[in-house]
Amino acid sequence: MTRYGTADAGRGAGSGFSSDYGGVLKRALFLALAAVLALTATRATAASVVALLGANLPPYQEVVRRFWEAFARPLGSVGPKSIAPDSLTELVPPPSQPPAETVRDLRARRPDLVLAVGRRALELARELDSVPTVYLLVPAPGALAEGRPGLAGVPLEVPAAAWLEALRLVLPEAKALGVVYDPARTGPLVEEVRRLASGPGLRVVAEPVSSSREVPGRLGGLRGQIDALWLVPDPTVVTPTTVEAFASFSLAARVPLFAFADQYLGKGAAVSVTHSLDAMGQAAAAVASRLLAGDAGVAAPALAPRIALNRRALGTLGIPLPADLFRDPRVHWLEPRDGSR
Amino acid sequence: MAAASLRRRLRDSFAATVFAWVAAALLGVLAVGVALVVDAQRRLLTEHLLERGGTLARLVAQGARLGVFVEDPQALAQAAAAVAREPEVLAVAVHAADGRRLWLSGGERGDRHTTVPPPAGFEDLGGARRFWAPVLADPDPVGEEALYFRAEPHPGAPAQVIGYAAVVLSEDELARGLAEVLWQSLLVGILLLVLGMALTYRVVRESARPLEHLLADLRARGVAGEGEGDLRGTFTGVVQALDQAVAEVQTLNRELEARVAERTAELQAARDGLEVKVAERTAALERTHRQLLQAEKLAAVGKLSASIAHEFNNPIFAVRNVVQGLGQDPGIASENRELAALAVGECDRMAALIRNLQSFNRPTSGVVARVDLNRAAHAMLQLCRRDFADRRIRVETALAPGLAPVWAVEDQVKQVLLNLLRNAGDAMLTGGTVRVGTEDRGPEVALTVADTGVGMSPAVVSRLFEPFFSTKAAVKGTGLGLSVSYGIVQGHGGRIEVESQPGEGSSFTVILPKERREP
Repeated sequence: MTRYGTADAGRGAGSGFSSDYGGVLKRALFLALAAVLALTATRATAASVVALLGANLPPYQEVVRRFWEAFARPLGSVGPKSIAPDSLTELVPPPSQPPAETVRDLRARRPDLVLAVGRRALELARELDSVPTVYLLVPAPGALAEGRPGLAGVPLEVPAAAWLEALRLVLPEAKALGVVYDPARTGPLVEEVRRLASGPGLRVVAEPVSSSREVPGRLGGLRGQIDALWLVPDPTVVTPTTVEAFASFSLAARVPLFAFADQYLGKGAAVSVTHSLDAMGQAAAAVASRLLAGDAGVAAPALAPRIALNRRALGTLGIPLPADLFRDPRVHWLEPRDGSR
Repeated sequence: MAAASLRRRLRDSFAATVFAWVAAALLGVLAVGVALVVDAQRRLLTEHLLERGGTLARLVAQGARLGVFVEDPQALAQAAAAVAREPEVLAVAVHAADGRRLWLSGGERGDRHTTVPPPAGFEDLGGARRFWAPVLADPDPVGEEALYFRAEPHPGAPAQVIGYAAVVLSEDELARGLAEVLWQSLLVGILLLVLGMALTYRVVRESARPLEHLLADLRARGVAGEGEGDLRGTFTGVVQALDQAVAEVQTLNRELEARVAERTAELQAARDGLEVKVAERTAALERTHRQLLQAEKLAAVGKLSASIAHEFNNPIFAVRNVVQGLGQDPGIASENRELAALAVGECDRMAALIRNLQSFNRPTSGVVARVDLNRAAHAMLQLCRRDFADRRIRVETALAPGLAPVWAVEDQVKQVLLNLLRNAGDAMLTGGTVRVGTEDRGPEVALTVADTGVGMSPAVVSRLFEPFFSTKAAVKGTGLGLSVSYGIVQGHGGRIEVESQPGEGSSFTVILPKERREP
């Protein structure tokens, strides 16, 4: 399991690609916003929280721990909180357990807040209409995150601007970014990046596919045209077999592979751009506090991206790196062993 | 003929028999060992072939995963190229999961449409084997979370088979390996056999050498004949010889027992004779003891006689003086005068007799002085004259005139001379002649007393000087006279020579040196 550094400070929800200076500014704004939210979203009574985990995965448990560290408060000196502290109950329903039974169990616990970790947990938590729910680690929640009051969450995907920020940080001279994608799934994301990149003189070479079998062939079409390769969180594109193809192409074409999760660092990716579990847990705690405080329309906070570099892969590719990259606080140098996440 | 002789010699030879058995055993062990080694090597090489074939097939399958996934022949050729170049690889083929051939290299033997590979993972093609390996792909992730987080594999979830890889390996390498192992094993085995037989020959020869020496020794002793090469026959002969020797030993034992019995009887007889002799000696000792008592009586009588003679001497001198005075009286008649002179003469003779008797009984003086043997002989003859006359013994003297004196103790010399004269008288019971003579023999002087008596046998002569040996009656002789005389003469450095003939008489010659000698 890859060890991570300390939790990153959040970055403001930027509306577009910015310079390094702009990134620092966003980060400061995010910290201020988080502090204001934490101070204003005070609760009058102790909360009973049920953390519903869709699977018994280490990242799920880790993010719950981070959430609780930020959410739970010490005993107060006056009021009900002084005699009843916040409580957290973790539920990991077995895969074979029928959803209705899990829902009954959840209702019987009468929680004040449900922390749904993973898509399966979010699907179950949605059944509790009146209970405030905060979701975490749900990729592309889409309709699941809509149409229900008291439901808010922290996005798992990094925004398009974060990808460009990472690219400029690692490869300032890059002129072309290659990507293979399924327009039906990640088309908006690719288009957003293409739009943001048009300003700073970066060209996005996108190869659309509709099946994973097309991926190796499309990768062959990118050879010699790009300076970096972007692995998008697209289930059509990313399979165990195609990941090998991406890694092989990266090695053969001598272009770094930018991935959306740390687990690909152990499979040949040179850079991963993610939200850290610590930041997501803290953001979820802030959202939960506001929900419990009665703010039903709370929006998901924007998080600063976490940029992890695979020192070994970059060394193998022989890519010259900027000197200030080694001193940049946003960068985490990893020696991936198993790419656990 | 020669072959039969050789066979018989081999059969009879202990070393050849042992050598043949050991060689046969070595040959058997060698054959079994070679067979085991070849079999083990065959299994090892087969395992190696199977392992290598499986590994190559898995290698192709692993490298061909992407090529199978996209069904790209170029990618498959690239993935299988390294394996296809291996010298023992005859063919490489990659099939899709539905059996379609996606790529083939090396000939039709690698081509096989199938969707069910053999369970063993290989097929025997006769001189070659085709190895199969599935081309596996990880199952597609369940849920989009799997794009972000690596979930633990679902228990029992099988890997997805997307195709098969086949590698055809030639068995020529296996056959060459086996042939090489066989030849090497045979070569090593033959070397070991030769070495073992040489060692066996050496050991058998060394171990049989003592037996051969024993056999030669037995032949030399005649136990085994020259033609008997059979050790068993030889030892049969040895056993027979031992039986014969035991029988001889028993016979000798019996003879020895008989001889021992005989010697025992002889010893018993000797013991009996010894007892008789002891009885005789005991009787002689008793007799000697009686003679010793007699000698002591005689000595006591001698002392008494000397005492009486001393008492007689004074009256005789008084009588002689009276008679000599009467004979010198002028008034006496001439006839009386002659009688007086005769009486004086008899008184002198009695006085001389008394002096000799005193002289004889007087203890020896021990004083060595010059002694005239003629005078000593004359004095001793005077002492024995009357006794000789009574026995009608005539005395003849042949004394050498001017005889040189000898250095001697006079009374001891006289004692020797008196003993010789008395023995001569005792030897002539019916009369005879005693001859006394002296002779100058240069540095010595000889005194001879010879008689014409009964003489002595050589046996008596040989024991003549033994103490207490006497031929006289016990009351007459002590058996000490000649023994004492012999001691006296020897003490003066002289000797006594005896000549005697039975019935003709005896002659004793005392020879003394003129000059003084220490005894």
